[in-house]
Amino acid sequence: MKRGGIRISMQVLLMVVFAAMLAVGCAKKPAATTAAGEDQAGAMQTAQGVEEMGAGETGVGESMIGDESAMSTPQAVSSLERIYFNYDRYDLSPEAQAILVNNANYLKTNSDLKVRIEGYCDERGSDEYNLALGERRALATQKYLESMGIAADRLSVISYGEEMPLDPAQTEAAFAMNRRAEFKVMP
Amino acid sequence: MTTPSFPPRNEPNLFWLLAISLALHMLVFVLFSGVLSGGKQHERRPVYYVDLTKMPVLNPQAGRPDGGPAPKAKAAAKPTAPAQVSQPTPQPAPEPKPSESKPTQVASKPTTPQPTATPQPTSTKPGLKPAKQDAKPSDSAPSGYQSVQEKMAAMRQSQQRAQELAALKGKIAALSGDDTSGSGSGAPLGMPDGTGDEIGVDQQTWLQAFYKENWSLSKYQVTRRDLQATVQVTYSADGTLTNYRFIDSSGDAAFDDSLKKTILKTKTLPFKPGRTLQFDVVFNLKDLMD
Amino acid sequence: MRRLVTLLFALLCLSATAAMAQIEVRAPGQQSIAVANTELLPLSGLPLPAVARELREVVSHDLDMSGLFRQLDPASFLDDARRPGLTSTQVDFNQWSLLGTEILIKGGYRMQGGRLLVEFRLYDVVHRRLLTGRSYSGTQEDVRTMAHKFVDQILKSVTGKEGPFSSRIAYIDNRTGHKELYLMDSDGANSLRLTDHRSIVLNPDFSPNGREVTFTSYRPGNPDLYRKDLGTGQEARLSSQKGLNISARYRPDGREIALTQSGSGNPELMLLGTDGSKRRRLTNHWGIDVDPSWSPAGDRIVFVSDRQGNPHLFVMDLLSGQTRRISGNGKYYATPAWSPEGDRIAFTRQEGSVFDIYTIKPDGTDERRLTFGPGNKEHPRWSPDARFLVYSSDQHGGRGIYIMRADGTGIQRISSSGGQSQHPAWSRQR
Repeated sequence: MKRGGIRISMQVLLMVVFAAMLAVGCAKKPAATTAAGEDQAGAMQTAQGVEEMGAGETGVGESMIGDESAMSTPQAVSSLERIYFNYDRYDLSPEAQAILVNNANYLKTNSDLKVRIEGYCDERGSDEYNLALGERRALATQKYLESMGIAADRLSVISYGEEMPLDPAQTEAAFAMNRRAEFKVMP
Repeated sequence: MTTPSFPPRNEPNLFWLLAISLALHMLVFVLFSGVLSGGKQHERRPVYYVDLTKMPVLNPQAGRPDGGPAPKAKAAAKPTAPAQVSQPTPQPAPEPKPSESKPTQVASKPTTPQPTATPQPTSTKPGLKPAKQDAKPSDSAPSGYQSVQEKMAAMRQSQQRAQELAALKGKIAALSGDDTSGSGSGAPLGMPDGTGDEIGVDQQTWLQAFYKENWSLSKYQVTRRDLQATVQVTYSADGTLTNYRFIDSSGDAAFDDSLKKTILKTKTLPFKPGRTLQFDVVFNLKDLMD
Repeated sequence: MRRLVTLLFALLCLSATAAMAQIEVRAPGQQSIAVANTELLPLSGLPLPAVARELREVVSHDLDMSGLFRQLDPASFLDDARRPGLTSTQVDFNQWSLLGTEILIKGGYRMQGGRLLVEFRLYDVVHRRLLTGRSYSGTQEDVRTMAHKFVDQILKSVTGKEGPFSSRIAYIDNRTGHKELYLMDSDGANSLRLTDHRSIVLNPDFSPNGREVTFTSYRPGNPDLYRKDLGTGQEARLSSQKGLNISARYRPDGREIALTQSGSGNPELMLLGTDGSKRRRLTNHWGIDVDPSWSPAGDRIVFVSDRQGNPHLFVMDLLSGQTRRISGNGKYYATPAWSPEGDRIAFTRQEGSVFDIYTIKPDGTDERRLTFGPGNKEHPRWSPDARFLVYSSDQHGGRGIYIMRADGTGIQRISSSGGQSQHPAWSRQR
């Protein structure tokens, strides 16, 4: 990241470690929670595929193809997995990058999809600053997907800042859940 | 004192008297003008609690202006009206336990001092004609007032607690004055530099407390803290304000107006100075808490 | 010997009195003004006890909030309180000075052709004169506004500067399930929803004439800037650049709007005309630049930027373009608001995990913390007279709107419960 000069205090270090642990966790477990819990039971079949994909990570291709049949349903958006960020940061962690590789492949195989990337923050910090931060997260995500060969005109961004938390609780775990970028299929 | 250096061989003649007088005047002038201490001397004068119901004396004894009151009574009085003791001096006075007799007196007193004290509380002065002060209790009050008399008594208890307290303190001070100073009740009532034999504070200290008590100004009325104004006031021998003028105004309307009100409220002194008094009162906000 | 000593004593005493030439009083003994707030009386016709009570209560609340006064107990009032006393010759000032009253509020009301007429008088008991008098006419719905307006005048009489109580506060509330724009009185009464975007509405700001409010809304699918005319209710979209169009603030002369746009790919401060036309770009930096607030003269802007790492406060001189950091060593500063008096800037700062409200001089000196305790206090904005700050806080669970004096005293929640309220903005006098 640009800001190499960021002071590595104990706190930041701990936070990074913590967030990294969470992100690793997210790569597996949240796939189940998000798919089943958030995107409703109707997407169960698709969700199965997603879960495998999330867990396997390398076996992406097969999972994707297996999902092809379910592709026409709108719930297919859940195949684009959300990514998480560290506090007050918008750089992509290795875990996030891995997820984005999957998402890019998915977008390649579904070349008619247009996607809006939504940037979010946890509730700490000022609302306006967080709107800007959320936009940066969305933009960083967009840039990465473009670098993976996704056409720029298929991707748009919007920031919701801290306006729409996934988990409104005021805990570190909730905060980590809320610092995210999501993908919405545009009509 | 310079007395030892003046062996009084015989009756002092006029020349020597004048010389002494001159020397003393010079000495006092030098001391008070602050030449010796470079003017900084005035910056931190201790502020005492002065009981305004006790009139100033010409010849205060050695002691403290906030001395005198019985120990327990003081401790009991403080929590109810902390505003009264605006600047508590760092007074050691831990005031141990000289029996329960005093507190019980205090507790039993409120009802008794009330009627006798009311004619004299300091804060009634402002609006009242001087005549009212000594006449009020027995005065043939207008019937309208008669009807509200009890109401006023109730009001005094609930709201003008400060007054009540002042009256109480006067009583207590008088009590402690009767059995004189000492006996664990902190310092005797007097002045730190007092050399006289009267129980009480000098006029300057008393008047300072008097003006402070009658000066009302909220910190939200002024935006600055460096305001200062000087008012010259003149009182006749019977204690009536005959003239006042601003020698220096602060330039702040709210501040200056509050001073005019203070002077108006203090246009009658509760004692007769016996001679014409003229002095400058400097008002500023150096001790205003934020 | 004895005689000499007595003589010396006498001389000393004389010297002492001579030196009494000056008395210094270093602080007022009474640091609040004793006010008698009497209940207004019917001037003709039937008494309206509910009206009289509400007038008195609103006046009483505002007097307390100002911090200037101590209100005398109505139970102690004598019979003069039962006379309307609309001229100074009718008032028995002796009664009031007996109670230690310094200023006195009296007045009356009557119904006239379906309209309520209210007369207020403010007397100086010490000088025995009328300080100010006002009469108001309106419906019974306007009772609170009349009382607020008169207290504004009381403050003007006592301090030379009008009070803010008749002004209003715009804020965001989600009680409908969506974040919408609301308006309420300075004491939280008469809350009214202004928008129906059913999306997300954020961050209102009043135009200096008080007739318009700008805000950001997500209704078009992008955070765009809107302006709403409070008189007609009409809305217009002022700025719809791709990306953010947020934290808009009217210049104090009402001619321009500063805001953050990210159309260039990076959040930058921009200057717009009030019709939304682009005037110029204020910042050009890779960092995030948000939350502008104008100096009263309109020649400087304080804003938040992370150009030095963490979010800090910077002051930009618009003429020279010079930008200077004013915040200290904290790690997260947000939402600066320049006082209408110009002498201080309020902002929030994160310490530990909690935001609290501070003020600082525009040159970066004399930082003072105003709020303490648990909960985040955010988005401070000044009252038009700079006496008070309004802000949002979740200190009692559920975010609400609070006001306090500019020195951090007198904290009071004004928004009702039931929704999450945030982003207050205080209007000018009305």
